[in-house]
Amino acid sequence: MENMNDEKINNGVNEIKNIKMTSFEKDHILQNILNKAKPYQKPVRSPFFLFNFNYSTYLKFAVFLIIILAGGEIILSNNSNKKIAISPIQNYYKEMNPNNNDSLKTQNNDINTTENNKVVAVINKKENNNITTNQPQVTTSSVGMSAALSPSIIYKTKKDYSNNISVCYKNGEITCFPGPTDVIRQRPTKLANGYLFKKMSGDVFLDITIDEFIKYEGEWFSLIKIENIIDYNPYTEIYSCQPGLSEEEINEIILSNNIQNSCVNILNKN
Amino acid sequence: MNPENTNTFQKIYDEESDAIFRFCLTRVSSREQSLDITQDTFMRLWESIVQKKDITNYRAFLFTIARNLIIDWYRKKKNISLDKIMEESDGKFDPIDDSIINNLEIKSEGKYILNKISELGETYQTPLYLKFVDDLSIKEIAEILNISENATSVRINRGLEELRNKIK
Repeated sequence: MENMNDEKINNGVNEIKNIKMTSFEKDHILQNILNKAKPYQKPVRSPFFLFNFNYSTYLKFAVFLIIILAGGEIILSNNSNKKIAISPIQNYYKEMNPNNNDSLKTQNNDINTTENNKVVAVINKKENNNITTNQPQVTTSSVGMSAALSPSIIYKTKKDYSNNISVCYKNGEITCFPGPTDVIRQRPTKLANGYLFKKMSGDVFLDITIDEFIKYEGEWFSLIKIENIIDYNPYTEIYSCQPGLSEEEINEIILSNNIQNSCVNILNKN
Repeated sequence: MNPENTNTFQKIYDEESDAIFRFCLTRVSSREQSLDITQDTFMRLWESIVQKKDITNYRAFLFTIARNLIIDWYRKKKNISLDKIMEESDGKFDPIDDSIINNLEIKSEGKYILNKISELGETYQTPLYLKFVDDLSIKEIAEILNISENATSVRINRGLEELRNKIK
C-alpha cells in the first residue's frame, strides 16, 4: 500500500518536474539581465567620514587641544632635553621673556656643560641674532616664496653675457635649461658697480641670446647643446647672499662695500 | 562586462532557472508573474557575482531570494503588511494555492500531488517540495528556511508521512 502511494508521489513529482520555461522565455530573461547589468561601481566614500569619530578618537583629540591651547608645549619644553624637536619653542619662549633670569641661567649653563650638539644649537641662534641686527631684514612681499627661500646670487662675468641663455653644466652634460615660457626670466637685473642679479639657475652661457631663443621657430630644444656653450668659466665673481633680498637691499650692500661680510664668495667653491 | 562573471552566471542560469521558475509558478497566480520573479531572482544573483560577494551555495541563495520575492509579491498584491503575513504564517509564508494549481499546464497526477502537498500544513509544504521536486539537500533546505538541519529532517519525514496518509 505504501509502495503504491510512493509510486503515485513519484509520478506526480516527475510531472511537476516537467514544468519548465520555454527556450524563448529562458533566452529572453537571460538577455534582459545581461542588458540591464551595469558595471559595478564601488560606493563613494562620504566626505563626512572624517567626522565619524569614535569615542577614543574624540578623547585623544580633546587631550591634544588642551595641550596646545593651554601652552602645554612651553611647559613641556622647559623641562625637556634640548635634543628634542620641541627645543626651538623653548628658545623662542626665552627670547620673548628676556627678564626671566632662571631661563637664561639654564640656557647659559647648557652652553658650558652640555654636549657639543647643544652648543652648536645655541651658537646658531647667536649667528641668527647677528644676521637680524646687522643686515637688512628679509622682505618676501616682492618676491615669490621660492625666491625667498633660495639664496640671492649676484655675479660679474668676463664679458657681457647678460642677454645670453644660461644652462647648468656638470660632468660634461647639460643638466638644466630654460624653456620658451620661462626664458624671459633668465635676463638678469643690473645692479650697482656692474654686478648682475641672477634670476634663474645656470652655470655656463650659450652662444644664443634670449631674444634669438624667443624668436626661434624651429624645435627650441635643438639649440640646447654642448656645442653652443661659449664660455665654460665665465665668472669673475659670484656671491651667495641672504635669501629673499630685494635689488635695493643688495645695492645697499654693494655700495657699502660690505659684500665680503654679508655674502659668501662661491666662485672658488665651484 | 567581465567574461568570467558572465560565464559563471550563464552556467548557474542554465542549471537552475527552470527550478526557480517552477518554484515560483507553483506559488503565484500567473506565468508572467513567475517569469518576472525568476528574472528578479537572477538579477540579484548577477549583482552578487559582480560585487564578488561570498556565496557558498548558489542553489540555496537563489531559492532564498525567490522565496523572499514571492513574499514581497503577496504583500503588494493583498495590500496587507508583511508583519501580518509573517504572523499568520508563522514566518514561513509561501503557500501553494488551489487556484494556482488548477491553472498549471501539467498532467493530472502532478496536479493531484501538488493539491495534496498544499493540503499539508504550511510547516511541511516547502521542505517537502524542495526535497522531492527540486532535489535539494537537507542542509540547503535548512539554509533557505533558516532552521536547523534536524528540524528540516523532521519536517520532511512528518510531511511525507502525512502526504502518504492523504493519498490512501
